[in-house]
Amino acid sequence: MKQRVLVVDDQADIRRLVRMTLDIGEYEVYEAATGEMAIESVIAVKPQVVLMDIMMPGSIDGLGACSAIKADPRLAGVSVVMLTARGQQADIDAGSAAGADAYLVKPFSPLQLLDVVSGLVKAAGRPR
Amino acid sequence: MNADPWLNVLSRAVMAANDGIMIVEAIRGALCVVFVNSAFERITGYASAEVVGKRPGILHCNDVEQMALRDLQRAIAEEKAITVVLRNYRKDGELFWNELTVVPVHDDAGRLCHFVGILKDITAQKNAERELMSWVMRLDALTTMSADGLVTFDRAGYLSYANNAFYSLTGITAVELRGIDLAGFDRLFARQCGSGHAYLPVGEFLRTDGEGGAAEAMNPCPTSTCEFRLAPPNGRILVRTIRRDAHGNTLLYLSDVTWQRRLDEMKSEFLATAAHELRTPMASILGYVELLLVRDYDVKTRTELLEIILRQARRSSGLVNELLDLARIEAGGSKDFKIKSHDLRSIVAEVTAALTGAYPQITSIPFDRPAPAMVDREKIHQVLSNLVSNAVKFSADEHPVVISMAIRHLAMHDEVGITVADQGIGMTPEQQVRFGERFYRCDPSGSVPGTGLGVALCKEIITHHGGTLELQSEFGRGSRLTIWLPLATPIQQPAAGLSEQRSADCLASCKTSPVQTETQAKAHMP
Repeated sequence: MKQRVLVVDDQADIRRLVRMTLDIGEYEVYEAATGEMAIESVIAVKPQVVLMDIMMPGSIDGLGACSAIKADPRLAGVSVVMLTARGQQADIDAGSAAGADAYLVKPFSPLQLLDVVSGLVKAAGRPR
Repeated sequence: MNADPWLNVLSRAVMAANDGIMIVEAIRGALCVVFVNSAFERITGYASAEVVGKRPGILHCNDVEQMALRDLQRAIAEEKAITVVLRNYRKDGELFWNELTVVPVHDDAGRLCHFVGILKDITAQKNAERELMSWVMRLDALTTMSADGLVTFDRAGYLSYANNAFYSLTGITAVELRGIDLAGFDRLFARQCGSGHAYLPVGEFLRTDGEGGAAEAMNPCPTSTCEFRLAPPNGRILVRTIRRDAHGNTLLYLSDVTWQRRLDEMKSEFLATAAHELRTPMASILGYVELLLVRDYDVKTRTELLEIILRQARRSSGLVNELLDLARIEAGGSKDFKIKSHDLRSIVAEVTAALTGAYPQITSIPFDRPAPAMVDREKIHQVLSNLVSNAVKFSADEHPVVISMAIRHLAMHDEVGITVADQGIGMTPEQQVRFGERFYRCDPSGSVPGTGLGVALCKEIITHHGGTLELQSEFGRGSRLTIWLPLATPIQQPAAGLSEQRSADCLASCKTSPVQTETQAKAHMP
């Protein structure tokens, strides 16, 4: 069964990069361009993994969207990976505070992204 | 005969006295000096023989407009004792301050026969007083003018002084400070900081500082510094320095560092944003390159990916160039500008010609008057190109972008303006406020290409030319941007200090494409 991954980034090129990276048969990729759309899509699609950019236009940024997802009991199985150009320690700490399961700094290696996503999917699959 | 040995002693006392002694005979209203001691001679410079037999008024010369002198004359007329301070003059004309005590002497019959005058030269004391006053006034002026707050407490811990700046910095009033002690002061201040912010009481400092007699002995005038923020609406960030002096007075010094902190914040925000803006295109470049290396794609897809890489690489490169330009202008100001007199009409013509091939919607209206200005041609060309390409980016292809010129007369000088007008999407009031802010982009999603630095750079360049950038815009209708520059008078020479040499700095050689040509312009704007 295909794993569902939602990529959230306001830059179309980045969304396409992630789509092409994960386009190896076992993943179904969904896209969102803002924090608000991300939350809607997560509720609608229930992906296993969300790849979340931090800086996006609109009233909710990536950290806000991550917190909202982690706070929702219906979305308990959803892992969130921050995928962002903001790489200071303060930013990484903010990611943890928002409940992120992993943090990748741009520019990232697509192969490394694949590893992170498959790792999270396997961990989610194990009985708790 | 018994009186003689005692008189001898008294007369020795008078002769040896350090103060001048003058005995004046007062017979039938006439005053006449009959004796002066050697101290009198020393103080006044007059020898005994020069004053004996004369009127005592000799000492104040013509300086008769002294209040003290009138008091003296009245006392003499009333036959009363008095002490006055007079301006007197030595034989050589030098002024000295005389603290003069005059005592009447009556004979056995009660008739006035003599006056005794005791002269004390208090010039040195007077000078010291004046010097002190002068220092006090200077200090007062300094502390009053000072933009930093100054507060002092005496050894008992009560407020002894607060300057104007203290009141305006903190919002605490003079009335509130009256008669206050350190504990009361700390309470007032903690209130100004509000609940959100920590305030370290002065009392705390004094207690911890006095922790060991040894510590205080080693450092008899300790100081301590701390920083805190006042609650809104004041909101200032203040650095407080506390110092104890050798007399046990406590001095508090407050300086306003709000702007410095804000500037530091802005600098690190700028760096963080610049890093972010550079990393974003790199993510595409590195990511797609890695995919191309590890996966097989058909030719069509490969070409698409390579085009994305190229586009993002160009974006990166443009960003780096603009960052370097900004850094260079900030560091060096306009000293690297090649300023000469140019007719701005030729720059307009150049820019129009360069861009109209790819973008036929660009037109310029001919201007019939000469428009000379002292400018760096390449820089103004860059600014105008940037503004025109913005206008094109934010308009539909069929809407015209029109470049026009004008001259306006201001109070002190004339200015020439180049206006770029479009009928594009325009800007909301919120967007207009942020126009020209570094990295600010009306459309940050990347669908309209741009770095967010172009307008900031234009503003820097224009400012360094002594000009202004004017914006008029209506959301949904379009925008008009005008570059205003001082009009050069025909015989104007470059101002002293502006270099005409192209400086050979390495930043210039790092730039990849200083001047846009038609083909490059086409490639820059997909």
